[in-house]
Amino acid sequence: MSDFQELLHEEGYEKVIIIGIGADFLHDNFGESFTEHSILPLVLDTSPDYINFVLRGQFGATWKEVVILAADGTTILDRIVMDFDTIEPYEEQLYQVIVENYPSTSSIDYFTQIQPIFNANCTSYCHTNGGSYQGGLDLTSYENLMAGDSDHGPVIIPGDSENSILIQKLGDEPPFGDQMPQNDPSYLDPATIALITAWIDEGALPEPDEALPGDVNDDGSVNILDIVQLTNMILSDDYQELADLNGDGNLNILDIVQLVNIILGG
Amino acid sequence: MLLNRLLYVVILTGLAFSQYEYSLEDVNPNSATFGTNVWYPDFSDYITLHYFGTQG
Repeated sequence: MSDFQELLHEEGYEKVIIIGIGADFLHDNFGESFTEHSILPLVLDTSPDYINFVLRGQFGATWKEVVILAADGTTILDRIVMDFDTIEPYEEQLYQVIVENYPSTSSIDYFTQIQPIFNANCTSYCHTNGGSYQGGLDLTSYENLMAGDSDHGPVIIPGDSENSILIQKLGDEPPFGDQMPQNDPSYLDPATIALITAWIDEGALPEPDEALPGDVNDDGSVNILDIVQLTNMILSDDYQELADLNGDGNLNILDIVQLVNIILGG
Repeated sequence: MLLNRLLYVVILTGLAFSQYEYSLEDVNPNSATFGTNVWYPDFSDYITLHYFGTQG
């Protein structure tokens, strides 16, 4: 998996778009390099030279350079001059710029992002009404999905998409029976499967997992164990934004004080 | 002639100081919005990577 895919799947950065500005041949080198490694949108602006000249001037861009803008569309976060026409050598660098400057979006929401996929592709005839038509797998609700089917039990293993039957059945080499949804070309596109995969790997939750302030060890509660974890992070110089409770960019005694106050304050 | 030049300068100045907006087709076949036009400012809360290639 490339850095750009990790950016979307593991870090939750859905709101990233790349705009190639320049001539048509961008698609043949930079574009193809990018699309091989990402499911993020890519658009190419091949406006006339005088327009691109102005845009270059607007951003002060040189030839073969990536200018990374914040979500306000004007603040330049960073710029990377490239020696190659492909993006591969720069993925890690671009990834770091985004991660350091842009908060990740919330986790994938089952109700608004996953259930509509099943509604559009799976529940019209087959996986509905208790799933009696297709092995007892009912995909009309989160509860039914997680219950699985009568033959195999759970079809989703939270956190493990690779071994989840649902994902295996959506692929072109299902462990049993036919690929789903049945009948090409109704197979799901790679981006849609990737979204379901990411949701499972996030834990297959019914709602996005909201971080609990002070829950440094991410166990769902705030207690002395979080203080221990935070202390270890400070001693090992392991910065994690989750533990930076006062948001000053450093982990130190002030974060421990804040954490103690959270615990004492209930 | 002078008017045309003035108009040209005004247009370029306007472009230079306006925020970059676009409606362009998503050409990544792996993207969920592939084939559809992606708009800014609809994508105004997106981080954007502007790649300036060598021009042909």
